[in-house]
Amino acid sequence: MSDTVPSPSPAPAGYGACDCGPTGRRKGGALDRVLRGLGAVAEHARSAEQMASRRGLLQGLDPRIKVAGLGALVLSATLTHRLEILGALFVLACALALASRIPLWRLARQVWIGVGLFSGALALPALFLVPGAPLVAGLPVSGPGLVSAAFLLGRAETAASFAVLLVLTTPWPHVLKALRSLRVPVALVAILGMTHRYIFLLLESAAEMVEARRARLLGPLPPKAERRLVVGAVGALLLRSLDLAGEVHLAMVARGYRGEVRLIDEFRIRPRDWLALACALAVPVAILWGQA
Amino acid sequence: MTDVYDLEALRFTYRDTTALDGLTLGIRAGERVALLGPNGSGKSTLLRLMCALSFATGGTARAFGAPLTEAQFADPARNHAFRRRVGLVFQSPDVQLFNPTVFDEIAFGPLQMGWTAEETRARVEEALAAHDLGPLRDRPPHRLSGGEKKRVALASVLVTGPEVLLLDEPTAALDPANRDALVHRLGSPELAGKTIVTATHELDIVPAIADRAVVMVAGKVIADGRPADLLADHDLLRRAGLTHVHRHTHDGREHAHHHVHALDPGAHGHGARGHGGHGHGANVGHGEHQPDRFNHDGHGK
Repeated sequence: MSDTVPSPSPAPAGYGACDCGPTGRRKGGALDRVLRGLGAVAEHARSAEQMASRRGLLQGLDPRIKVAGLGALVLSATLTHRLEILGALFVLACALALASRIPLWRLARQVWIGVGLFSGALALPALFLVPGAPLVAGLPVSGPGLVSAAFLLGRAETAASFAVLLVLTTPWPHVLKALRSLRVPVALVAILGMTHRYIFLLLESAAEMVEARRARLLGPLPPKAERRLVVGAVGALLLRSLDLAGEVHLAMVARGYRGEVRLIDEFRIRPRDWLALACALAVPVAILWGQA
Repeated sequence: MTDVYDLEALRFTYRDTTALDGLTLGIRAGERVALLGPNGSGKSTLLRLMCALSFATGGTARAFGAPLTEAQFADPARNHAFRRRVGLVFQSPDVQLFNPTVFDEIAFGPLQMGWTAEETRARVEEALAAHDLGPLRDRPPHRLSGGEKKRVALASVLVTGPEVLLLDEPTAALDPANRDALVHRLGSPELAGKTIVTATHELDIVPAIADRAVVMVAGKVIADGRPADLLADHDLLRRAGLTHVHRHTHDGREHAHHHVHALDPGAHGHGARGHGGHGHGANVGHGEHQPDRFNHDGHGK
């Protein structure tokens, strides 16, 4: 008997030897992209949790006050009809972020770029379609069109910044409890909570499935085969999530769940929380009063 | 002792699979029963039926003297009363831990039972202290280690003080230290007097957690008795697929040794209740391959 390890069989046509190591790792493959994406989501969630546990202005406030106060600021951004007020609100969002030790690059990466591109695409037609005198001779961009586009973009960016500040400065369980305290329907809060809870479990499952498949590959697959593997993994994950949903429901029933989730609130509002809420509520009131 | 469960010729089928096939079993109050059997023997299904999460497709099942039927559990009062008395710890803590924090997880059961916020808070704080979970109070359960998750899962069921505790593979996927801690917890005074039914195929923990063992194969009970007697019956354990098979070749022939992963049950006397002197200790059979525990047979080719 030979004591040498036999060579593997030659790969079938189209399944070339990998040029980047025995694990079949290849930049740009569908499996790798999925795996990197899953890793990025998990990493993103972890860093958001770390930010929420830092000491900072918003982190120190009662979550209910934050939900109500930042909600009031979002409302302010949608109510105002003056660009300078919108600009001031945007600057306020940046100031709150810095006071809460949230780097502005984080807001830029997480909010401003994506929202800017999306709402920019929506605002683009306004530049040309809103009637008015052209800003520059020969260019079909009107002044009122530019203002309309700026409002749309500014409102979207400002409102999204406040919303993300809430999420980045509040542990998710506290956001949920705050929503419950503010009388958001309990079923919705429970669904949000479980989605957050199980999304990570499913992410882990998905990452393991992709890793397991990649570990059994001798080399890179053709793109079509890779896509088929990813689609298969998505299907398997869906089945797994359905099973999981059934099991979780049984676990809830076993502990007395009868269709209505009951939760317990543990927050205490301090004077500084009331002060913060008063300041936040004053903004939309002042805007409405000014516009009236 | 009064009967807690009275199961007669129980059948359960789903998707053309027969999980329980004419199973008959009675369990009395205060008994500590180990359900032994290989994977697919119907242990988990039986626990779910005992917790009224599924209902038998044949035979009769009674708990606390009342029938365990879907019609009975359509009555909210009956359902509520039963849930207060019976708790099930699932095999996978990931299934059971669905709340945002450990505190909320433990508070879930009491709140669903209609306890007041004050009562719930007090009991949850007690449970956190009793299970050494204080430092994890505000942590999301999905960030915990496997052992911590199991502790939280157990605490979340015990907090309502059920009379009957059903455990599905409680030591699965635990490292030795966490496994020993859990086994120790199951023998703690907090659980004294409770009826505890544990499904497992880890034989070495049986003497510590049970006074009675029930061996299941293919949805049927094939043996029922004292753990000491059943664990000593190598033929039974081999038939039930509860032995390790060590294979090796010697002189060009393949040999198979069936190995029981448990020490002589009579040799250890840690606080066992009821049937004489079998208990657990740090030296309960973790792979001690003593010749008298080998049951040689099956010489291959």
